[in-house]
Amino acid sequence: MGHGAEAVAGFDVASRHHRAKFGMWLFLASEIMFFTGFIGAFIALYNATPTAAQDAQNLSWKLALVNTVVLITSSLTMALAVAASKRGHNGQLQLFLILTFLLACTFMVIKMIEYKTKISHGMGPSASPFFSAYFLLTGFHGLHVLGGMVAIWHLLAYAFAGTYTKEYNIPIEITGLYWHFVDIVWIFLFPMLYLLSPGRIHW
Amino acid sequence: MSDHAEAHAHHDHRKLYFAVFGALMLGTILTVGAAFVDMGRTVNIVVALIIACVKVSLVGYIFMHLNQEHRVFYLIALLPFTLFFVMVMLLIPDVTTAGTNPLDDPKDTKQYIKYKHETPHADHGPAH
Repeated sequence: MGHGAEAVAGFDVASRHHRAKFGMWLFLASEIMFFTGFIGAFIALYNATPTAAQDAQNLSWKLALVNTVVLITSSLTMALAVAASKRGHNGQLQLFLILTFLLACTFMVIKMIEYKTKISHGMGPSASPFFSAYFLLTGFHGLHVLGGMVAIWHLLAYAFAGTYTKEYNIPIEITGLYWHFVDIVWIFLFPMLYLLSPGRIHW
Repeated sequence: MSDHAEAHAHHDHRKLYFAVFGALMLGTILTVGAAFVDMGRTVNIVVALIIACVKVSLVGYIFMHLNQEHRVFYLIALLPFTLFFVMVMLLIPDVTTAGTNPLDDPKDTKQYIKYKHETPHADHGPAH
């Protein structure tokens, strides 16, 4: 990228930076609508399921609470990774990316434990409309976490190669945006799926 | 626009990130606690939604830097959330009439039977 490229309007670093963020925000907007559809389905199915309250009580809200803490912490480590990349600290960047990845792995492991115990007790996706919606929502959220993990792995590979500098750190920032979105979705899903009937309140 | 990048470099946001993390943890505890206090179904849902919105706003403004970015990002993020809330509100009639079945009305049941037996029906003419 010599002076010839920068002479063309819009190809300077700041404009490309801005466009990358713009693209990621547009993608996140479409993903919000993606989850909106399924959350709407959940609301309708919850109210159409006579066994919904008991089904929700069978969900392990304590495991989900651990998952919530794990995911919020991973958001923090991701934000710290972005901050480290902006300061040019490659070592800290790698550390925080690794931490974020490990926390994401923890989330998926706990989610798999949840799924396994539910399905082995016969509460699979076809058990009731509530469980169908539950597996739909958490399944797609889990797929988003997995996709984010692939992206973070990618970032780690480039970070170990020393690609990211104080000037060029936009991939980390936009992956951070995606990761915070995944956290936001879980912040909505956790009370909606697990805390509607935690065992004390019978609606 | 290189001064934009330098402005980011000079402001260390790390303490703010830890503060937001603490606030998110507090919000999570509040969410769980509020779920165990029976304030009636509507109030419980509204309280949970409010706490969730505060947490999401914190993540959006501070972790995702919406407070520093150009207005356009804020609008791109705001529109889907607005549509999300509109959709949730549109589902309220579905929620509040849950458990009721308009087909339970004997008049309508007769309507279905009439469709097969073609007995004269005064009220519902060419309705279907």
